[in-house]
Amino acid sequence: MENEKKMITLKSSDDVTFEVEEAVVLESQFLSHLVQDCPAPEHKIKEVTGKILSKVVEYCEKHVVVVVDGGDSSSSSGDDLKKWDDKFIKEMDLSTVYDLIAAANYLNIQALLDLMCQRVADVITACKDHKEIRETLGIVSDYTAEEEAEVLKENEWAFD
Amino acid sequence: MLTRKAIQDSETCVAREITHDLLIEILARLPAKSVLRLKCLSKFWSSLFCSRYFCDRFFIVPSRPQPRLFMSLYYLAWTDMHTCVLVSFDMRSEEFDMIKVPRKPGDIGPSLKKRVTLIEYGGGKIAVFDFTYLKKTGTVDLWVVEDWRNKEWSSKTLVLQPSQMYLVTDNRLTPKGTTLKDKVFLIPEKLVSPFYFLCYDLRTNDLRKYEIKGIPDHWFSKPEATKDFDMEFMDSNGSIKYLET
Repeated sequence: MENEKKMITLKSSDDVTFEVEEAVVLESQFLSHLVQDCPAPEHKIKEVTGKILSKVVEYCEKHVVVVVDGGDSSSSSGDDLKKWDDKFIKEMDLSTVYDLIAAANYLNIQALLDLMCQRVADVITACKDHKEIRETLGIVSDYTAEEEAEVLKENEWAFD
Repeated sequence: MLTRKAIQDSETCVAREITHDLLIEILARLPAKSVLRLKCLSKFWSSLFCSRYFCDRFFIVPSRPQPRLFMSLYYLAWTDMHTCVLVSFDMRSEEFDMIKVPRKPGDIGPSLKKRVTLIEYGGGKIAVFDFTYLKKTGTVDLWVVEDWRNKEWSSKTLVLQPSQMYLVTDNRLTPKGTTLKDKVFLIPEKLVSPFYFLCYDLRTNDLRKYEIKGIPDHWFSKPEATKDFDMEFMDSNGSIKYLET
């Protein structure tokens, strides 16, 4: 491309700024509309903190680069991207994952939302029983001992 | 019913950022067994899975393996007299794609006049069932999509058993799709008496005739113009839901 790349500044709720190429912003449905509708050089995103926005930007930058370089995603770049995604989520604690889910939902980045939701689903699936799931998700049971025994019995076959 | 506020305030919530909708977004990605386990977490969690929204959402998550035919819609179209194309419409991405249906060398008649239908063949493959020459020569051409992206087709010509030729010479036939494995139904275009349908088993290359008894006589004697009829075949394990619509 002979044109100089257009840069856009994103500002988080706690005033951390990120300068990104326009193509990166376009990964987000929400931001691409925002950029189109109001062509200001800087956009404040009140719903997302700097910590989370940095992750979002990191994700979008990676995904833009791979798609642009790799042409169609059928080549090995698709595998690389998957490896990168795996590493990206493995380094994250669950509370960051939750924040990213909310951010990806708000900014409307479907691929990131899918990735993060799947991560939580995988963590739940990996738990050996409902007690471990409670611990992992921080859930307090409101069943009485009898109720719990009954519901466990009903769904017994799911615990093989 | 729990309001969003109540859910966020309650102890049962995963995290403040995860709204009810997002929670369902996550849970819809779980295998069915894990969902049942979650019912044991608390009353709130148990109630989640009873919601209509969850059930609807659970079955449309993209990662859940689904038969190919449900993911895309296929149909045949003609871009001009001589070009027949197979069009796919991806229900998720809402994108169209098309590939040209190949022709046998020497088959020079206008494509638009061809008698073709789409069928599911060989365990989920899409195939074009071309029976243009069935009446004349007893042959059917089958074009099977092997690889959509690389536009790879395989072709097969079925030749009707000579003893069964008489089944296709009388009436002009209309295809009625495949609801049974690798079997194609053909029915007479007109309401003929006695009425029948043909079932072509592509695997055994066997054409069978089935007569339908019990159709009132006066149906056949109606004036031609008012003699509209249609016939549907349902899967033996077909859903009642289908009947409701």
